[in-house]
Amino acid sequence: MTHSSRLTRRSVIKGGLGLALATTALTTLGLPMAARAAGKKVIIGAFTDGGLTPFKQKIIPQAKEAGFDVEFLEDEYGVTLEKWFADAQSGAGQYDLYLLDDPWVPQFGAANVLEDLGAGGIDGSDKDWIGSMIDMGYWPPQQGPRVKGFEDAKPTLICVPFVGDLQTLTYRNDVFTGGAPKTWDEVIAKGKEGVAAGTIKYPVVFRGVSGNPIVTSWYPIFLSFGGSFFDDKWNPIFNSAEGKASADFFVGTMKQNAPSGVVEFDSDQEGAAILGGEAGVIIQYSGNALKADDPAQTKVAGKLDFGVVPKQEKAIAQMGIFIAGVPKSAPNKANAIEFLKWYTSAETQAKLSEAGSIPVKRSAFGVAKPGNRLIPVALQQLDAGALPRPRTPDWAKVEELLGIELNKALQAGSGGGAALDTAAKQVKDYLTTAGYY
Amino acid sequence: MSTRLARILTTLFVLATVLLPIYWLVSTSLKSNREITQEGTLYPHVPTLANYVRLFTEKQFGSYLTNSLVVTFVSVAIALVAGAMGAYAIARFRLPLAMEGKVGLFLLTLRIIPPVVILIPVYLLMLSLGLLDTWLGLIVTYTAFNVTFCVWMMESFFREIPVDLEEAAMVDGDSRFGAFRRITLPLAAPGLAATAIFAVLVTFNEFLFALALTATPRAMTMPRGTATLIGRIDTDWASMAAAGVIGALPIVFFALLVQRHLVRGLTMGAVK
Repeated sequence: MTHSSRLTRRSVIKGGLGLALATTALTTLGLPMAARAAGKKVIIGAFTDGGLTPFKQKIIPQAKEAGFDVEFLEDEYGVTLEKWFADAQSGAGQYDLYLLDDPWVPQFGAANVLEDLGAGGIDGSDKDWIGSMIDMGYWPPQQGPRVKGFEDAKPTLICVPFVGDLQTLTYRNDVFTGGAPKTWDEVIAKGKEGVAAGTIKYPVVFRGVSGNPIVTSWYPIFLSFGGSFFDDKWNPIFNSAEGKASADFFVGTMKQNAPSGVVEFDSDQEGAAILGGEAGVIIQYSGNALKADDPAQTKVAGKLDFGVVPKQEKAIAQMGIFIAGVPKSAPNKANAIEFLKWYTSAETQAKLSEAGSIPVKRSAFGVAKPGNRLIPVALQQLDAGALPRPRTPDWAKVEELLGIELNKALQAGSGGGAALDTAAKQVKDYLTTAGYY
Repeated sequence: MSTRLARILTTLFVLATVLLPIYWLVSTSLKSNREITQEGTLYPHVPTLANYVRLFTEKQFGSYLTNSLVVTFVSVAIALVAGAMGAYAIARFRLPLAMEGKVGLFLLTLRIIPPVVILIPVYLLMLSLGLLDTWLGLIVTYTAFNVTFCVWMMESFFREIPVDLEEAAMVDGDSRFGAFRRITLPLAAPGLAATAIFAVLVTFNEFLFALALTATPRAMTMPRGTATLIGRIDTDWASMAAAGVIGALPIVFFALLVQRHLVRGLTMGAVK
């Protein structure tokens, strides 16, 4: 018995090893074969995001037809900034193209690790660009305050907009029967009616997790209340009267009308609340909005419509576009720039719009059959007002400091204004240490 | 009766505690993302294998798994060979006075340094050697960690084996290495197996160095590749659960194969 048992174990191990080796051989052989299959190699690094689904599914195959051999590598959002920055600074040369989140552009720009795409033949002055989007590709910024060391530098086009993501409103059309709510007061009032009628459980849902999530959710409310973040000398002014009113509204009224666990909500939970039919409105980027018509992704398909963010003073959203940069260490630099020219051409942008993704050229918003109902609303939002986050390499730290204080106030359910005062002092101290003044 | 009932209840509680996470993982892997995030069901109402299919057709999970298996088994194999010889040397030979009795502690110290402390130096080293995003880079790194662990763990196993057996073999004409290979090593096999299991577990599940040293599916290991399913806005929980199930299988399989040795290995060195 023992002998037979040993033989069995051994044979199983041998079989397993053989299988592993065979798989290894196939995989190793397979990769170069795939790489040889097409023409001009372009290795694109992206962070995982539903907003890129149309690009992956519809545009990459067309790029292959156009002669590009696209290798699309996705990574988790939280690690991509550090990974790519290390890759660019060390010259490791693992990517031809980074699809950055736009607040990262200043960090890469200040480090001088991205190619000058203008010198590569990409025309940043083309009037077809959405102006606010192409502006985000320049370092130092063409407008607004500049950080120390770059006061007199000539703006260079180091990135080009890739997907025109920005915040818009998603709302329940069976609660807001007269169309998108125009003001925050209307959101709360009609939302409560929807709760009373049993149509929804909560008027609103948002992200409350400390750091980037809570700041991203608060930001459009802050802008809509008329707030500004920094003055032109990088002094924090987000704790102005308008800013404090927005924060008090956010941690007080909005929290009272949101799910009980909202302090711990991130995008998954807020997405589940709106797609699961519990919430009346949400302000969100396109990743979850693109699921609104898919019955496999939402319980309330047909009941979700899109609109411009509600206003108090103005209706202004936060922009958060995907923006593409070519590292100086890119192994296929010329291919990457050629790919970007092809991708940002009016023709390809029109195809992107037809595929359901928000384009970056104005002409593509006007295609006969945009692939998603969100696209014309996105243009309405751009025209109504959409602002990027402040153009500083230290935005991530600023966001972290502010996010901690906002989260504390949200937990308490009050004290939003005081939280902004505390955060403003911390931000000022940090930027002083960083040599901003 | 009450004692028996208490035993049964305790057993059920322990079983539930141990099995519930496994049930939840498997159950989640058979649900759609909508069912997971929007409905929170206790069991899959519409069971689907689509998450498993998606891993291999859209997410390059086959590459991640292959990379993990190759990197783990190669690095552990090298570490076991080198570690066994190192441990044998420490157990059998007199070391210079200052090092006597301290080598084990020194090796243990190396092993308990938080990996994050040496992450950047290792990254820069691999960069300068051109080993970023390669199997070799990971194998070298993991082997370095595993060797210290293997030496430290196996030293006590070799000390348990009577030196008289080797001496008898050498009296009969065998060489020192021959006695080690033919007499000592087979007797230490349970210890070797126990060491191998722990080394495989640690290596197969390692995330931090895989995160820093790999960038593409060419070298990403299973835990590292699974992390790519976490999105900025939406996370593919269903695929992550399926990845967890598949990723656990090789380790469970391996542990079952060597469990007999593991029990013997763990009791080697215990008070008889």
